[in-house]
Amino acid sequence: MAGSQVAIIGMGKTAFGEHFARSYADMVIDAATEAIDDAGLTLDDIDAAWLGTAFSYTYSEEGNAGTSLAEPLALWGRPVTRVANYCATGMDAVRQGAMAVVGGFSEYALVVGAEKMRDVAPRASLLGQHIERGHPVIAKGRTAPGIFGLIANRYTHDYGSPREAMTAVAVKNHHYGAINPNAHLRSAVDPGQVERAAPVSGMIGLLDCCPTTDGAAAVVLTTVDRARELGIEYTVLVACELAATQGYFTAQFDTGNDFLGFDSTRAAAALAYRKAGITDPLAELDVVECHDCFTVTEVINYEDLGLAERGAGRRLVLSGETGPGGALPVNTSGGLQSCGHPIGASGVRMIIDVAEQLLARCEPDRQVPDAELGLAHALGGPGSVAAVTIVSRPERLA
Amino acid sequence: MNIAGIEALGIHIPRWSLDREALAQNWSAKSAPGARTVANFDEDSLTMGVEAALRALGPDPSARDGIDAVLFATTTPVFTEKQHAAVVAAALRIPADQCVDLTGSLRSGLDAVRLACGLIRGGTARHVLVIAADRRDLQPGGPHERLSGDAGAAVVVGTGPSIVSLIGQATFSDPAAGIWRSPEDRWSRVADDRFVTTELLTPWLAAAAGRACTMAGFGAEDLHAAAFAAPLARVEASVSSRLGLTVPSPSGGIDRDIGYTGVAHPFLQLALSLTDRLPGERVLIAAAGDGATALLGTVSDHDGLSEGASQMAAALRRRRELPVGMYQRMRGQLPVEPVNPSTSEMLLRREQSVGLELRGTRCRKCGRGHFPPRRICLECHTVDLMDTLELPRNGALFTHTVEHLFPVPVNELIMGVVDVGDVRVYTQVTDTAPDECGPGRPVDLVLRKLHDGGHLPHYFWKAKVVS
Repeated sequence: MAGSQVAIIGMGKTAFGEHFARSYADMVIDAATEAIDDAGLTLDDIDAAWLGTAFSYTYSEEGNAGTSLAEPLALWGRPVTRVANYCATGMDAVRQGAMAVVGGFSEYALVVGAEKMRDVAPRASLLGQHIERGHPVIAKGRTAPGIFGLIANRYTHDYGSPREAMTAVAVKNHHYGAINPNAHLRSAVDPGQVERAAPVSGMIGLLDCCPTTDGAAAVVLTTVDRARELGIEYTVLVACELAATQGYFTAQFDTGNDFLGFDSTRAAAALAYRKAGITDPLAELDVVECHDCFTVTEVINYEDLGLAERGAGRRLVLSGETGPGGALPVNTSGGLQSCGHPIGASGVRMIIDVAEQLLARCEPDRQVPDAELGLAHALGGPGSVAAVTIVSRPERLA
Repeated sequence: MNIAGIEALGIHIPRWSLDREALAQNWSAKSAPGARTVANFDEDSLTMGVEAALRALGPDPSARDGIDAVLFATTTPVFTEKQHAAVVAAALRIPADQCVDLTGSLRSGLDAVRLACGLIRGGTARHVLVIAADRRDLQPGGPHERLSGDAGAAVVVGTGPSIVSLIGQATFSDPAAGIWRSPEDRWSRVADDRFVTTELLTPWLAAAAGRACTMAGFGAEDLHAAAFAAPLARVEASVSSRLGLTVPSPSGGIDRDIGYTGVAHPFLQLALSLTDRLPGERVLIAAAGDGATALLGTVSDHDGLSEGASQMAAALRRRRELPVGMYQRMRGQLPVEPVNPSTSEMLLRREQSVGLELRGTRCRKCGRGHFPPRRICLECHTVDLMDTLELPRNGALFTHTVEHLFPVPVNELIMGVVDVGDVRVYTQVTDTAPDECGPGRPVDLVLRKLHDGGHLPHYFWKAKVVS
C-alpha cells in the first residue's frame, strides 16, 4: 500500500464456535452490522465491500461470488467482490479493501470474512476436500496436519524435537482462549493432556490442532484523514502485505522448500517490515496474532517472522516471552488453537484482535499493557501464500 | 535361427505375510502351518506385474530397447474391459506397439511365454516382456484362501544371451470345470478337491510335461529339476510320482512361505529351480489351468541364474506380519470407510507422462529439473524451452509424516517427501513401517494404486523404503 494511510474505524465479529442454529448469512449480518455500528455508520454509507470466504459450494450455502455478502446485507448497486486465497483469504480481503481506500475507489469499505465449516461434520469439511477433491493423483494423501507433520519431522532432524515447545504453545494459547469470550475452545489444558492426545499426523496430536469452526468477522476501513474528521476511535493499517511463493498441489515437490518454515511468511514479513519501517520486530512489536493452525506452526512462525533466529523459535515460547506478562505476547486471543479457524474469517479476526489490544478493549487478563504496535499473520494453503499486517495506534505515527 | 530363451527374470513378492494358523483361528478352523503372502492394499495384478518387470529389466534404461511386445497374464484383471499391458508398458516407458492381455486361465503365464517365442520365431518381435501376476481371492475362511498367495513375475524372452534356452514346449486345453469364477463372483470356486486333483490337475500336468519332453527328445528321467504349478496341495507330488520323477521339487519353500500364486506361480518355481543348476542341465516347468502348458529349458552359462531366487529371498527376509483384521479390510471382507475422490479422464490423459510414466521437464537453458513438469523454468524463467526428464525410480527420503486421518485400509498412511535425482516427489510411502522411515533413507519408487475415484483405478508412484 502506498499513499495515504488506511484506518480501521469499525470492527465486528461473531463468537467463533459451532453455530448449528445460525446460517452463513446470519453470521455475515451479525459481524457486518456490528462493524458498521462500531464505525458510527449505516449500511448505506458503505460504498464497496469485499467478502473473504475460502471455499465455495463446500459446506452449504456459500457461493463463489460477492453476492453471498451483498444478498444478506441488501448491499445493492455497489461493487461487492469475493476474495479467496486459502487461509490468507480474510487478510487478503482486508488488503483489497485497503487498496481501494488508498486508491480513492472507496470511502467506506466493508470487509467481511466468513466461513461456515460446521454445516457438515469435520470429516467432510477440510479433510473431505483433501480426500475427495483436487488433483486426482498429485499430493493425494496430503492433509492439513500432514503438511505440518512433515515440518515437525524435518525440524527434529535439523534442530531437535519441537515437542516441548509445541506443548508450551498449546498451553499458552488455550490459557488465553479460556479467558476470551469469543473463542471456540474455552478450557485451559495442561501439558500432559496435550501430549497424551490422539495422534493426528506424525508429532502432531489432537491438541496441537485448531478445531473446525464457524465464524465471521468484519472491519470498516477509511482513510486516516476521514477517521480523524469523524472523531472516533481507530487504528491504522500500516502495512498489509501478501506473498505467494509456491503452487498448491506442487508445494511439497519444491526442491527449494527446506521444510523448516515457509518462504511465503518470510517474504510477506519482509515486505511488511519494510513498509512499516520495522527493523527489530521482537523489540518493536507489542502484540502478535500469528497463524497457529498447528502448534508447531507457531514455533516456526516466530522464526519466519524474524522474532527468533532459525532453530530458536522453541526457546522463545519456552522462555515465556510470548505468554502472559512476556515481552511480546503472541495469540492473546487464544489463536487458531482456541478460536478455531473458519478460514475466510480468521485473517479479519486476527487483525481485529490486534486492534482491540491497541485500543485496550480486551479483558484485563488478556490485555497487553500500553500496546501500540501489533502484527497479524496468516499462512495459506500448503504454506504457499502468506499475509502479514501491521496495525498501529494513530499517535505512534504522528 | 537362434533358440529363444529367457533373458531376464524378475519376481515381486508382496511384503505382507499372513500366518495361516491365525487366519484359520479367526474362522474356528485348523490349518497347516506356514504363511501366505498378501498384496498390500494398494497392490493389484497390474502393479505387482510392473514391480516384477522393473526387476527383470534392471535399472539400465537400455534394457527396454528392442522390447517390441508386452504380454500381460492374469486371472485377476483390474479391468474387465481395458488393456493392462498398455498401462504396464507406459509405466515401464516401453514404446511397444504389440500389447496383449491373456486372462482367464491359470496357465496363461506360461502360455504368454509360448506366444512370445512364436512372435520371435515369426520375426515380429526381437524381445518380448512377459508379465504374470495374480491377486487371487478364494472363499474367505476356506482352505484355498489360506493356501493361496499373491505375487508377480516377469521374464524377458528373446534370442540374446539367456538364462534358460527354451528347447521344448507343450500345451493342450480341456473344457472341464474344476476352478472358475463368473463375473459376479467375488472369489473363485473350486469343485470337489479330490475330483479336481485326481481327474483334472494331475493328468493335465503329467500329460503336458510328458509331451514337452518327448518333443525335445528327452525322457522325464533326463530332467534335473521339475516343478508343477497347481492351485491345490499335493498335486505336484502326485504328478512327480506318475512321471516317475526323482528330482527334487523347488516348491517346498514357496508352499510354506508364499502359497499358490496363480499365473505367477510357475515363474517363482522356475526362479528356485535355477539356483544351483549347472550349465546344460534341463529344467521343466508346467502350469495347470483348463489343461496345462509345459516348458522345457536348458540352463545356460549365465551369471544371473540365481537372480530370481535371491530376489525372492530378499523379499521374504523383509516380510511383515499382517494382522487378520487388516487383511480382511484390505480384501474387502470387512467394510472400510468409503471414499470417492473426484477425477477427470481428460486430465489423466493430459498428464499421462507425469503420473504413469514419471516424467518431468528439464530447462534446456539452465538445466533446472522440474517435477511435476513445468513450462516456465523456476530458475531462469525461460518459457517453453524444456526437455523431457525421465525420473529415476529411486531416491532418498527427505522428511515424512505418519497420517492418522486420511482413510486407508491399513493402520496408518505415511506421506513422504523424496529427493529423486535433482527433483522431488511428494507421495505416499508404502510397504514401510513407520520406524523404518527417516531423513536420508533410500527408497524405491513403485507404481501403486491410489484410489478408484470415478470407478477408475488411479495409479501413481509411491515410495518404498529399502533397507
